[in-house]
Amino acid sequence: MLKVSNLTKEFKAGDGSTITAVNDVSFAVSDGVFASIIGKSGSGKSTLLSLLGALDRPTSGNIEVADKNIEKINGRELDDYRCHEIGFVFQNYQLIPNLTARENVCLAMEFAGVDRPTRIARAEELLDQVGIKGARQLSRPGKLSGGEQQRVAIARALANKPNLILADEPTGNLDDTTGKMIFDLLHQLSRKENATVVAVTHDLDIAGRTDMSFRISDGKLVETTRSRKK
Amino acid sequence: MNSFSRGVRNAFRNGIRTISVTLILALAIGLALAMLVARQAVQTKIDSVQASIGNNITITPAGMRAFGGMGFGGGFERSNSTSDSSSNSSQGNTLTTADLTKIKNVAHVASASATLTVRATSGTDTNLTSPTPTFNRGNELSSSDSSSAAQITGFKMPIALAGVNNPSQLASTLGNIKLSSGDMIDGTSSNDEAVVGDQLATQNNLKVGSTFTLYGKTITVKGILASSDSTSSNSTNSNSGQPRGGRNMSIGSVVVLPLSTLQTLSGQSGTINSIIATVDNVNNTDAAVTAITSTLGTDSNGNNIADVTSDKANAQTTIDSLASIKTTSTISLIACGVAAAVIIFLAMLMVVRERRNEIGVLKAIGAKGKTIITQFVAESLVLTLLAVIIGLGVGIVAATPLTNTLVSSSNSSSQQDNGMPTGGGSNGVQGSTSNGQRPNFAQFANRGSRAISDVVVKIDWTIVLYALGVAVITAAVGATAASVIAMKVRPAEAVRAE
Ligand SMILES: Nc1ncnc2c1ncn2[C@@H]1O[C@H](COP(=O)(O)OP(=O)(O)OP(=O)(O)O)[C@@H](O)[C@H]1O
Ligand SMILES: [Mg+2]
Repeated sequence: MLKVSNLTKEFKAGDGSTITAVNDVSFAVSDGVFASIIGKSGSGKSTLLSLLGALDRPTSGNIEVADKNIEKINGRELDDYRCHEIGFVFQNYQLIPNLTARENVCLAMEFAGVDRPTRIARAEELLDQVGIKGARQLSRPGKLSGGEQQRVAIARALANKPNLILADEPTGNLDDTTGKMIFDLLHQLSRKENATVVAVTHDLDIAGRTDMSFRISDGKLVETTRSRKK
Repeated sequence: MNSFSRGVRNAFRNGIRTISVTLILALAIGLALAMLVARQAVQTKIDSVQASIGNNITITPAGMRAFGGMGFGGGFERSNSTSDSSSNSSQGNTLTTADLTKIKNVAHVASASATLTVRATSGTDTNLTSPTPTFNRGNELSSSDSSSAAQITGFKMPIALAGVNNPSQLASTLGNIKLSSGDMIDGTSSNDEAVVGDQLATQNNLKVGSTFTLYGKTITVKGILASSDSTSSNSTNSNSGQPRGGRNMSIGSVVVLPLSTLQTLSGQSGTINSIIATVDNVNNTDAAVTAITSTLGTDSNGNNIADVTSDKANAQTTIDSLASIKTTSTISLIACGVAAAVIIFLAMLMVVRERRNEIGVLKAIGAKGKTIITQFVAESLVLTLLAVIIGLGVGIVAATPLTNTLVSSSNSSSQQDNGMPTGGGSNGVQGSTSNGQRPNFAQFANRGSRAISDVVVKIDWTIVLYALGVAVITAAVGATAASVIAMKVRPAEAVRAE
C-alpha cells in the first residue's frame, strides 16, 4: 500500500519566489496496482515521483510505503529504501554508458549486497524476460536502440524485487509502437513480480489502460480515474 | 565488478582526457621528483662539506688566495695573462721557513705543513716533458692574442714541482691521492727523491726507481701518484665552467719532492708558498687564525704579510651557496607538488561535473555514499599512479640536468666572487710569475667554490617511495575534490536529466 497525504513540495526559484511543484496531494494506491500520472508539462509529475522514490524530501506531508513513513528516513535506511523498495525507470533510460547491459542490471543488485553469481543469474533471467538475449546482454548501452535500452532499464528496476516501481515517462523518447510494447512489458512484469507501479505518461491511450490514473495540474491532484476492474 | 574496479574503468572512459591529464600530471610530478633529487643531492653535499670541515688553516702570501678554487688550470691561465708592466706592491711577500716555525709555535697549532711550488721549464730545468693538457691551450697561452696559434705548437708546458715537508698533507689538499706504486717521499729529508703523477710518469717512461734530471741533479722516482679520482667521475661539474679534469691533470703531472730538496734545487732556500696549519680542535680555529695573522705581522705598507683562512670559513661560503640552491629546489618542489594537486583537483572536478547525472542515477538506484567515493578514489588513484610511473621517468631523466643547472648557475656566480681579486691579488700573482713560482697548492686548500660543482646526483629507491607518497597525497586531493561534489549531487537530478 502506497499512501500519500497532504504532500507538498516547494522550490525556491532563482528570483527568490516560491514554486509549489506539488501542492497538498493525497492519494492511495493498493499493492499490485498499476497507476499512471498524467498532466501538462511543468505540472509537478516528476517532482511527485522523486518524492515517492525518496530522491527528494517533501516540504510537508507524509509518504507511507508498506506501513513505513519514508519522508523522514535518513542515511543507511534511505539507501536501503531506494535500493530494495523502489525500482526507478527514467525517461532517458539512464544506463551507465561504460557498463554492459548485464553489468547495469547487476549494479542495482551489487548495491543491495547480492553475491556475484546470484546477481549474474538474475540479471540474465531478467534480461531474457525483457527480450535482451544472448550476446546483446554484453553490449554497452551505446550499441542498443532506445527501446532496447529501456528494456534493460526495466530489468534493472526489477532486479531487487522492489515493491514499488516508479517510471517517469518511460516511453517518452520512444515511438508509439515501441512505447506501447515497453508499457506492456512493464505492466506484465510488474504483475509477475507483484510490484506496484506508478508511471508518468502523457499518452492518454496508455493511461486509459492502467488500473488507476491521476491527473495533476499546477501541482494539485485534480482528477482520479479508476478502471472498472479495480 | 565492484565500486573500485568501476572507478578504475572510469579512469579510461575518456581516452584523450586520461592521456592529457596523465601527461600534465606526470610532468608536474616528474619535476617535483627531480627537485627532490636535486634537494637531496645538495643536502648530501652540505652534510659532507660540514663533516669535512677540518681544523686546517691555510696561510699564503697576501694576495695569493684571490685565485682560490681555480685549480691548476686556473692558475696557469692567470699566470699567462698579460700586464707584466703594472707595478706590484706585494711582490716581495713570500713565506719562509722562519714563518713556519713561528706558526708551529702558535697556541693550538698542532702541526704545520709547508709547500713550495715551482714551475720547471721543460728542456732547460729538467729533462721531463709535460703530458698534453686536456684543457684549451689557446686560452691559457694568450687569450688576447689570437695570432699566437703558431706559437702554441712550440710551447712546452712547464712541469709543476711541489716541495712538501709533510707529504701526508697532500691528501687533505689534493683530495683522494693514492700512490699507484712505490712509496711516499720523506718530506723532512733532503733526499734527491720524488713521487710523480702517473700521467707525467707515462709521458716520460718513469717507473719506481727510474731517474730524471732536475736543475742538474739526478732525482730518483720513489712512487707514482694515481690521478684517478672516483668522486669526480659522477660529479655534476661538467657545466661548472672549470676545465673538466683540471685537478686530475694536475695530480697526474705533478712532481712532489721533499721541501728542502726543492728549496735547494730551485735556489730558494727557506722559501715557502703556502702553509697548512692543523689546529688541535675545531673550536680553536678562529683564535688560531687571529694569532697566526698577528704573529706573521704586516709589511712596510701596513698590509698583512699573509692571508690566513680556515677551512671553516671556506666551507661556510660553500654551505651558503648550497643552502640557497636547496631553498630554490625546495620552493620548486613545493610549487610542482601544488601544481600536481591543482591539476588532479581540476581534472576530477571536470570528471565529477560531467557525471553529475550519473551520480544522481547511482544514488537513485541505491548506491551508498561510500560506494561513490570508492569509485572516485579509485579513478583518482589510477590517474595519479599512471602519472607517477611516467613522472618517475621524467624525474629520473630531468634530475641530473636540473641539478646541474641549479648548481652551475649558482656556481658561476660564486666563482665570480671568488675570482675577484681581493686586494692587490692579481699583482701578487704577477710577482710570482716572474719568479716562475705558482701558488698552486695553496689553491687546493680552498675547496670552497669547487665543492659546489661536486654535487652528486643519486637516484635511489627512496625516490620511488616519495613518488608513491606524492601519488597517494595527490590522489587523495583529487578524490576528495570529486567526492565532496559528488556527495552534494541530489539523486533527484537523475529525474531531471536531459
Ligand atoms: N529543483 C528545482 N528547483 C526549482 N524549481 C523546480 C525544481 N524542480 C522542479 N521545479 C519546478 O517545479 C515545477 C514542476 O516540475 P516537474 O519537473 O515536476 O514537472 P513535470 O510535470 O515533470 O513536467 P514535464 O512533463 O515537462 O516533465 C516546474 O515549474 C519546475 O520548474
Ligand atoms: Mg517530468
